[in-house]
Amino acid sequence: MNHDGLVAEMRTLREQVAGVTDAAVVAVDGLLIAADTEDGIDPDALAALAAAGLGLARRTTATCGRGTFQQSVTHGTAGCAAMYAVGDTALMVVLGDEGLNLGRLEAESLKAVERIKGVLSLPGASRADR
Amino acid sequence: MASSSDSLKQDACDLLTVSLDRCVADRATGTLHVAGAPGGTMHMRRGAVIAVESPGSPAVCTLLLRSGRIREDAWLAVLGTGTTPRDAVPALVAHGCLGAAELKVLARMAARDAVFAMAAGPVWGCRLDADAALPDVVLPDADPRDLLREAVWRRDALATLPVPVGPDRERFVPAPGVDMERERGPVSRERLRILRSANGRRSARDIAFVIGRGVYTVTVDMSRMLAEGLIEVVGGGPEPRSASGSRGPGAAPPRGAPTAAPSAASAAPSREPLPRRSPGASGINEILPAVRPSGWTDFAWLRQGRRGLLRGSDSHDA
Repeated sequence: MNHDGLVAEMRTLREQVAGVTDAAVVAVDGLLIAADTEDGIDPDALAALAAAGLGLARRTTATCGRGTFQQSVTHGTAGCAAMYAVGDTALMVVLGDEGLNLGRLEAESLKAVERIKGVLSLPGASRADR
Repeated sequence: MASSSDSLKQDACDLLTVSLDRCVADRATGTLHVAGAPGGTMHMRRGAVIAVESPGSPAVCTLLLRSGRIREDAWLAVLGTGTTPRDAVPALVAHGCLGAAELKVLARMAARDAVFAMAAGPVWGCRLDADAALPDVVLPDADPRDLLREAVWRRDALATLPVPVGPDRERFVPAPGVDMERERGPVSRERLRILRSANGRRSARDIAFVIGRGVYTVTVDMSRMLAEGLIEVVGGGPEPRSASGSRGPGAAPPRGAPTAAPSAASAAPSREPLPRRSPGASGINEILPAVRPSGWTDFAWLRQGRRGLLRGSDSHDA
């Protein structure tokens, strides 16, 4: 798997959108695929929580008849965490500070998700250690 | 000598200048959406600015919370009264968490910081939404042209520093050997906070959010710290300003701007020794005395009379 390609996609997102601080690509079972996070963030813990959140959000979306899950955003007083489904098997979680423009993040993240989906679907793609 | 209006129109933020001129002429009311990197929004009432927001600079609530001036539980208590986050800052005054004058100072500083952030990056277009709901007013009506004039002044002042950096361009790490444990020599408390936040991933804008200070003052501080050898730029830094005032080819593009593959030459760090800064070396006071607006110096009495009032917020001009 092109691990460096995934990290490059997340780094590009961080550099393109003001306020993005960290990102990770995670398998739906909670195992980390690739991360672009700073030292204060435990990427494995983030991966597990993001996967649990994605599962909950997907079930909520389906139970409420709101169609196909696309994204969820959790807000805190010091920023937010946004989760995007990457096909059926993975997700991307993006952390941002208070200045993050969610509209811009959504526009850029959806493009990044498509590219990440392409990387993950390449022949020979498999989970790898960071 | 060209008038300040002429100089503004020669500037890279021509679109912003033209749009604001039109808003003033039409006495527009609504929200001006500024598309750019970082871009932002300016809320207008009868041609005057009443609030400014930009992803490129900390808002008032961020300054209050990140600096520790307002505790999170107080903030959440205000939000719990049904106030929307956007209108919660004025509610802090009603709840006795913040003084009205303090709020005005912070709102004015944050607005000027936001316009600076917008003017420091590319602007792609402006659109006025006359139907947008306006926030609770926290900023005394301000002439948008004055705000832009000060933003351009700040940007030009930044460019005259010995090693200019962009608010959202370079990423920094502490220089090897710098003591980050305690204040000493040129490392003040504020600089110590910057040093501890510089992890190689954060720009000056990011660090301003982390420590709850204005992006302009943090960028100026980091430019000076770079010149003094306290921090380094990840991947090679900007070259010292040439005699003509232009920056070297090693400058990285701003966040959000189209990027090109770096050449080997541009990726190489400058081999020249960093210049040492001396007080007044920037010469900005001699260059721009006529266009420097009074800014929020009107509130100097607050500093003298209520020490600690502005704790954690902008505390100096360049």
